[in-house]
Amino acid sequence: MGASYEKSVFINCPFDSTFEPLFHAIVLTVAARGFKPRCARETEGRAETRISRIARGILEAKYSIHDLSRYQGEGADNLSRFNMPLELGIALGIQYLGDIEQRTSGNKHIWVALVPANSLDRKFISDLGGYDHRGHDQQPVNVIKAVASWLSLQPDSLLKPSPRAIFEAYPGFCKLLAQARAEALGDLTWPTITDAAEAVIATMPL
Amino acid sequence: MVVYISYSRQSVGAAFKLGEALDRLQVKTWLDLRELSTGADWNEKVAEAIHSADAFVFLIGPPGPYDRLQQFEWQQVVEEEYYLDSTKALIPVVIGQAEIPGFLSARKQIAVDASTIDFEAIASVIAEWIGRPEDTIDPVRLERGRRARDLALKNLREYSLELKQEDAKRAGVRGLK
Repeated sequence: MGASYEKSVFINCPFDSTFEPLFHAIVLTVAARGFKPRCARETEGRAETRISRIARGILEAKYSIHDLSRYQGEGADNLSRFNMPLELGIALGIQYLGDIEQRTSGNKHIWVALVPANSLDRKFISDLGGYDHRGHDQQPVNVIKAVASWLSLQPDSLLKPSPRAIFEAYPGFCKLLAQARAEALGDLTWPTITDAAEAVIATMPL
Repeated sequence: MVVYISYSRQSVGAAFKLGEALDRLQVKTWLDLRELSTGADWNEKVAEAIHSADAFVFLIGPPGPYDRLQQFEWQQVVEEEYYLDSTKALIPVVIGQAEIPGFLSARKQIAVDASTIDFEAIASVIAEWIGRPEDTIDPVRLERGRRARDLALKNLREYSLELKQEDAKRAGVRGLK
């Protein structure tokens, strides 16, 4: 496994407009701590099935972040989303496979679940008891804190910037993304997001 | 001054011996198994002890399964942002080939072999270092971290470029069709 694997964090979260500010907060935090943010959006437009692209993305990353904060029914049919738990299941499978194979392949997968701050995850996904999930209340500041604190525990993380510094840089990142979206007539591609993250992080004090 | 001892549950014996060696040097330590009685709310008491500790020793390793209790201790230290505070002594004692968590990456480490740990010697070093917390920051490791950020930004730039090139290639193929 190479440096790209060691530094890759696969982000598994909703991509709709409501969640977008939180998705961008996760991307900025991951990149600010020296990791390469990755997600299903990087392979959009390919012929491969979506689940296959996601599974490969998780497999190519040492770390993954799974947001389970949307656990309630939505829309006219009051349906809850099963995609995030399904994809967390893939990460768990890779983790256990890695534990078995680690001595020969050096492979290892480390994941975290972002859950609602009200601790209801203990009810709706109780089999994950025994792991320390990170709670948030759908506010970017708390998502940044949750992700930065989890990354700080990982051996491949940079020490800085602090969660506060990342949050202070976040409005500038959103502004750059808004400009890019306007220039592209509403389209915000994944490389545009990673470009903007790099530009903002480069100006952050060490 | 109180020194909090964080340890993986695989190295509980080492934690006790190190605590005793520090006691002999008149260094006051906090170790959960010594301080907490049965039935105490472990999470709450540990968080309180970490909040009021002046310095920290982290026994890291030997490599083993996920240790929820030690992860909880580390998480408290991280959430309080003590790792960014040069007035807090944070001392990793690395047993064997264990990986160091990112928040301790700029701190001076004490590396030991699991089979030959000299607790008295380690305690002496810790007793000396806790009096000068700023000296627990390793300037060489700190500089290495700064260079790592430059490298990370370069990698991110290259990644964005690769993605754009792939997009352009796919758009070209579609155009030919």
